[in-house]
Amino acid sequence: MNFDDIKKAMDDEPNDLNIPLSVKDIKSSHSAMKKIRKRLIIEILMGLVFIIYLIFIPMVNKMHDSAQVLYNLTMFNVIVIYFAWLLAAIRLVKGLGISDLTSRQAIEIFIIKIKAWIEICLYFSFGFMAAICVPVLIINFGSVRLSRYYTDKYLYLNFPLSQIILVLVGILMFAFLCTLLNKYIYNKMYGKQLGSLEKIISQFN
Amino acid sequence: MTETEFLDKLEQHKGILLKVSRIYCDHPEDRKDLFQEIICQLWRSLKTFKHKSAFSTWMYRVAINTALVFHKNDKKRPDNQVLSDQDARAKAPYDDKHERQLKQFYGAVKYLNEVEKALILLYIEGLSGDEIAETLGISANNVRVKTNRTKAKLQNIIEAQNNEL
Repeated sequence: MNFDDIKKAMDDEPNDLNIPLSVKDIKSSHSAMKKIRKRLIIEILMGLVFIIYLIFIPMVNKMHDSAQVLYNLTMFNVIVIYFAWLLAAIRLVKGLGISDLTSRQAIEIFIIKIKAWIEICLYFSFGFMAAICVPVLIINFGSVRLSRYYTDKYLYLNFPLSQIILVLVGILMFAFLCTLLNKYIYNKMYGKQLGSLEKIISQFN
Repeated sequence: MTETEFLDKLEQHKGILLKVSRIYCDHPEDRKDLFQEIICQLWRSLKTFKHKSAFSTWMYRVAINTALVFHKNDKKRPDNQVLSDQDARAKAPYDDKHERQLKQFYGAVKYLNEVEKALILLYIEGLSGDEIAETLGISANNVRVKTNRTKAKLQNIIEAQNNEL
């Protein structure tokens, strides 16, 4: 094969692609990295909607006063934890460096950041899902639909230690199952794109 | 550099964009998308161009990295090759021998991986080992070994295709 001939043929090859008159006219979205970034933003927005929903639940589902106080306190904790995660997610999205594709190291750093983020999110989701169980239980047991006797019994843990342990184990199991589900969702959301980026990097070696 | 100056520079080096788009994408629509994606990326990365290397070398680096992470719409186009060939026939008023060679070359390049495509393109373009190494972020030694392997692989693919015919 004569590569000089190939080069000449490539130089002479007809085409209908033209440089646009303005960069702003260009539509750009076909990058694995951009797809990942877009999905991260969707993830942040979905989390935000979920938290807003939880904040407004007491307005729909009336609770006893004692339950309302507990709910507010535990929700405050959950919201503070969630906002810390949200800030970290926003910092990650802003600093992903998609604008700099001048070296393959930029792609490698991107992969490392996303993989580290997913790993952190899985541990975070375990803690977060366990923490969010408490206000969710308060919504159920503190509802005015239940008599105040049951509300106080359940909210102030007036039942045997064995049952309390059972509830705690249940919460941990729930958090663990949610983490597994999250792992599956993350794999579906980012797995294909991350896999293709990793495959490209492996081709350099 | 202003937008107009940037676009003028691109016009001067348009061949780089066309060749990178052509070698990475078979389908004309994918090619157009990649062409635009590279221009966008070059514009965004412009602040990283420090005039230490030639504009064209920097362009190759950004264009190839953009092509590496470019996501093709394969699912929507099962008949990629057919469309590509029709497109090539529709506008091929140039030398038959060159056309045949080029068709053969593109047919074989499809079987190379993304990094091998970059290597062979930069080799054909006449970049030195050091320039290829700088563009791809690998050692010059690695470039030499990989280029030889890729050329041999390409040759084998073309021979296999000729034997099939």
